[in-house]
Amino acid sequence: MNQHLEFSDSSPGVGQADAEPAQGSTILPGATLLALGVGAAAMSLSLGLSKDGLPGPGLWPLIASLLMVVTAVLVLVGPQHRLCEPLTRPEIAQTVPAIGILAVFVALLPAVGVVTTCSLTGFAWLRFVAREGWRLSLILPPVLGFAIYLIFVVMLRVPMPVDAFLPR
Amino acid sequence: MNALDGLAQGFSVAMTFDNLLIVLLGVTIGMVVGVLPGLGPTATIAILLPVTFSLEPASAIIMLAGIYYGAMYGGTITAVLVKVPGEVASVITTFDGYAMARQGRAGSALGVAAIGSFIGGVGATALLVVLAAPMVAIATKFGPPELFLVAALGVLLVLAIASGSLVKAALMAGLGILLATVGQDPIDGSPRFIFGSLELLGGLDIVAIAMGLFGLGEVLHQLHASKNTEESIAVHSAYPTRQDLRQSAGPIARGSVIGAVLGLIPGGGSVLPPMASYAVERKRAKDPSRFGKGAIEGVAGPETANNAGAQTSFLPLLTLGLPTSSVMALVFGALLLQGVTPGPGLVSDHPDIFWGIIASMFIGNLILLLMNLPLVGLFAQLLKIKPTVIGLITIVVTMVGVYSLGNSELDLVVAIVAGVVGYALRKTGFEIGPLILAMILGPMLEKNLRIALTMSGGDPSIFVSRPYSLALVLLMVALVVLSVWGVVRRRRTARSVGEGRLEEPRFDGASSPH
Repeated sequence: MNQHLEFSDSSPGVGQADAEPAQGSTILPGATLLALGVGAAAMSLSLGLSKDGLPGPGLWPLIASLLMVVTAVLVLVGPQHRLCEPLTRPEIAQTVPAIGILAVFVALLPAVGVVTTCSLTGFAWLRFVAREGWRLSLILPPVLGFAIYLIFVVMLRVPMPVDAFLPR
Repeated sequence: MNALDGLAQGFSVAMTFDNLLIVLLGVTIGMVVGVLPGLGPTATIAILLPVTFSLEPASAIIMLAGIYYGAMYGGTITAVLVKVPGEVASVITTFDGYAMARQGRAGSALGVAAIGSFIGGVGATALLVVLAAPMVAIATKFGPPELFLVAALGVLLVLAIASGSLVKAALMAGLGILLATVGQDPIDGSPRFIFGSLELLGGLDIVAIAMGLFGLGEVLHQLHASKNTEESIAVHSAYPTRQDLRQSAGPIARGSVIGAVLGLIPGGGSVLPPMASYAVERKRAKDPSRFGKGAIEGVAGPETANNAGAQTSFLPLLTLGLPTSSVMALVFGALLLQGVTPGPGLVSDHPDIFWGIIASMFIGNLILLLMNLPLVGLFAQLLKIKPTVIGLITIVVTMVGVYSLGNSELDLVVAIVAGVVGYALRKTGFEIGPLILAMILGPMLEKNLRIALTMSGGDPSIFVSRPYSLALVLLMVALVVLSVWGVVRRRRTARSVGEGRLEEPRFDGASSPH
């Protein structure tokens, strides 16, 4: 958590002083949320706003959607350059594989069990996303996987896909 | 049941061997996590929610509460030794705490912080005992119109004190309310926004979303966050000198009161109490220029207020069913999953839970004091753990935890999507707190609004024709008027002083783990 001392609008925050100028803007998230709000408002209308003179299923979602639409428009027309971190190429190169590893985790867990899943995805995470050395990347994930197995499956008795080589 | 009987029952719950072990475990996890860079109490509570499912409801909340105030103590260590606040409440402590550490007074700063936290925590818990009965008495008179207004007041206050942009916070609140409507209509059961998926009929799992937003989102964000370059300052134990204690007595006393009172206010959360205490101490000081350069009052007051607020923030949740911060929203979620609905009925239906939690706070704070003074050096060693290792542990615990919610891959997908969204929101300066709070308060708002309107046959005057609801409406109007007036006055002052001047320090909630 960084503490920023904010100057006037024209100068960047202290925390960003050594980064490249904040080119990030809230246009993309603002537009996405606006679209979401408009879509939800349209769907809310089709759910029905009132029923026998009382609020119907669509009224409350419509209120929430309209709040989103109004505030998203205000975000889009407001100042764009504050409190935004720039998205750099190296960051994308690190974040996209990280999300990919999470997706692999979902596919592996039910198929091969918790210890193998933690070992494989943990290795990929440490070696290729966090760029740690081979030794740490090879040793830590299986240890962590086994610890998770002991805590969740053995101690807490949480139903969980367990590797074929381990007792349930 | 009067307060003393209740407290006696609470101690009988909290002093069982199991629960003593759980409070010890909770505060230790909280301390450890508070020290670890990057993981705040909100993220920790989010990722550990599934672990509490196998516990009894009282034990589960005792553990979560322990993690919460344990993290408050732990966050102080990083704030003082490396100038990195472990959680947002410790930001203020970095100002003077780190300066003290650079002068070789780290032990004094940490000792005074621990003693202040203990006094503030115990004092605030005592206040909880006193206030519980009157709060419950008022809360039981609340019907659907009042409960709707209380929840609406909660949303308003969260927006009023949002650390970033008000508009962005309101946008997040709208998104949270909308996400909470996915699933069945609470009154007639008709499906909403389920896109043909039967799995979505039960609604989006708020725990999966919270774990994704806070756990995965934070790790993704920190993958590329700038690394802290401050050297850790060595410390072995935390015993303040007599002079330190004398100087801190006043700030600790004032901090206890400030923290306990502000903790009760929805939205007060953990940020407001230390800020208010710091401002008061600086104003009272004979030589305010000492502040920021190692004034012990600047550590003692805010740390006390911080912990006092952490304790009293449980009261609105347990008596009104109103979560006042992201952490309380998660505790709310944990109670719901245990089949316990926080609200006016909780104290009478489950006195063991209510009083057990309060009694455990006395015990937990004592454990933390005893643990902190001699063992602070040991906890400081945790600062050496690599952030990438903490990141991996967070990822694995979160993913396995989400799966354990219902052995459902959909939950994992929801959590990953929430993680990516949480990352994007952090990058673009949107706060996550209002989103989660609104998601928790959304169903409470809608259900009570619709029941109230059914009661009145669709006549909205029901919200101003009952004494308690009218009082709440007036409170809301006063709040809005005061906030607008505050904004106008600040703009006018800023304009008169001219552009380019250094404003008051602000806390960038966007990059905080909360």
